Amino acid sequence: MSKDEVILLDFWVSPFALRAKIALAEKGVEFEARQEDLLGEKSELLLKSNPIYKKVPVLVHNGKAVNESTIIVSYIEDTWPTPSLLPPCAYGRATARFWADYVDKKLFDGGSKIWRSKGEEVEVAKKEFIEILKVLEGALGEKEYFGGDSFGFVDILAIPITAWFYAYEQYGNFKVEDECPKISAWIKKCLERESVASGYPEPTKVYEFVGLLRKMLGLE
Amino acid sequence: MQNVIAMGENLSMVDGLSLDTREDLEPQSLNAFIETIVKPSLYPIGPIVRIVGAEKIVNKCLAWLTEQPFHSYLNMEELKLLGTWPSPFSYRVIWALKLKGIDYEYIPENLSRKSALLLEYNPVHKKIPVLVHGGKPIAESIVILEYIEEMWPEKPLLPKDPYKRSIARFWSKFADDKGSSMWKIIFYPDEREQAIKDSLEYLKTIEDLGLGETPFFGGDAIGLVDLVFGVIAHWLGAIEEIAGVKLLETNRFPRLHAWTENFKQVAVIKENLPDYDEMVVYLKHRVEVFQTSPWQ
Repeated sequence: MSKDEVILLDFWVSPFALRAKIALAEKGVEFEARQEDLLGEKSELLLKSNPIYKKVPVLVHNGKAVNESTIIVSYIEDTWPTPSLLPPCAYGRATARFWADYVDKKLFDGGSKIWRSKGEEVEVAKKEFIEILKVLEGALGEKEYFGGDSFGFVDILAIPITAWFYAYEQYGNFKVEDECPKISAWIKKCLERESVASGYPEPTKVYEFVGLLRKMLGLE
Repeated sequence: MQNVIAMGENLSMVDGLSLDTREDLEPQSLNAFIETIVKPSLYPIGPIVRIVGAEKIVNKCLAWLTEQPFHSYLNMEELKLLGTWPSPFSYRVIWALKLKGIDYEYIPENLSRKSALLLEYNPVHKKIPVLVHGGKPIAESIVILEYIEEMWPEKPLLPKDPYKRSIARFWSKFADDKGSSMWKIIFYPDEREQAIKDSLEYLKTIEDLGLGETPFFGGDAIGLVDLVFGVIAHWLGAIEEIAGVKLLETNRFPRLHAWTENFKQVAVIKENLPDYDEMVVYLKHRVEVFQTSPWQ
């Protein structure tokens, strides 16, 4: 059997690309991560593979391109089934997909609102973000991970975004640890995993990057 | 198989289990069950039969059960769909269930007066559709469709191949991420010009990249992606009429136009579409209401 060629189009600070890297690492799949310069020129391969969104991550498996981070993680799960990232029963999987959808729709955009806002809007954005975290805390419950006893699909989708929490905290003037201690504990637990820690960007560097984005948007 | 696993998980939660069988019909199975599983207690109340010529099944045990307090008993196979007319998201689920020949009970919801049931089953979003299977709720239409596909794999709506599956999921996500521009045309009249531009771009992307030469998305048979794009085949016409603008021109979007014809000719779709004229009236009213009060 010939070796699989697995390329991941990546960007160091992208939480979405990190999702794919964690999933591949969890499955023990060797891959080549190619850094894209998203603030500069995008590569030919990126533009060809993802013509509609022109974004990372893109997973190119034996020449075939898979786009959209959540779909990439699902593809990784389907292609390399062990160890499983989703529960065995259909209802458990539906629950995982529901929370994956919630994370996708709310977490990153909710956090972004904090640093993209000015004046009074910042406080509003902060409050909304904390609400989102509280809902996720509810979903976590007393479990170690969103997946239960084992690190899984929803954990993989959510943990990369936490690298941006420090930036949100700085601009919103709050601490996740004070507002949602269970989420803080879950973050610490996930960071103990090699698959997560190896690609997780330094929160202070993410904060600097956000500062750069704010300058570009004329916010400072 | 999935059904069996799901039921197995529920077993530890109940005190008693009624089975449609009789001790002398299946003594080995029943004894094996009793020996390995301590709880729940078994009550073989069968066989439950319909007498030839009778309209309904008359069974004293079932009749007694339905008189018991709500939530004190559960039909493991029971399937309910909470939806609203004429929501295209509701219809996606209706189509999927009917294409697979699955029986379910439809519970219409009134979104301006949400029921306690809806709020209990979908506390996070408080939206329809919600599928309730054996008492367990599933929300978000695409999550529901994937669940239906896994529980009832016959007459598949998704390809088995992981790569083709990822393409199907990509287009489903695209439909929901970008499809709102069509609704903006009528609900945000101040932003109409931009909404029309965005919608045309949306349709063009589907025309150029989403549909190949196959009659349906991804192949020769109707699938999940077709159901998700169903809004274009029927609801878009109403939007066009209300706004007085034609978006889906045949010569501009030949593939998409052909697809809408193929889609609407599928029996299950044809027989399960909201009445067009009634829908236009309804949407006109919703647009008026929306100008004065926020989204439900």
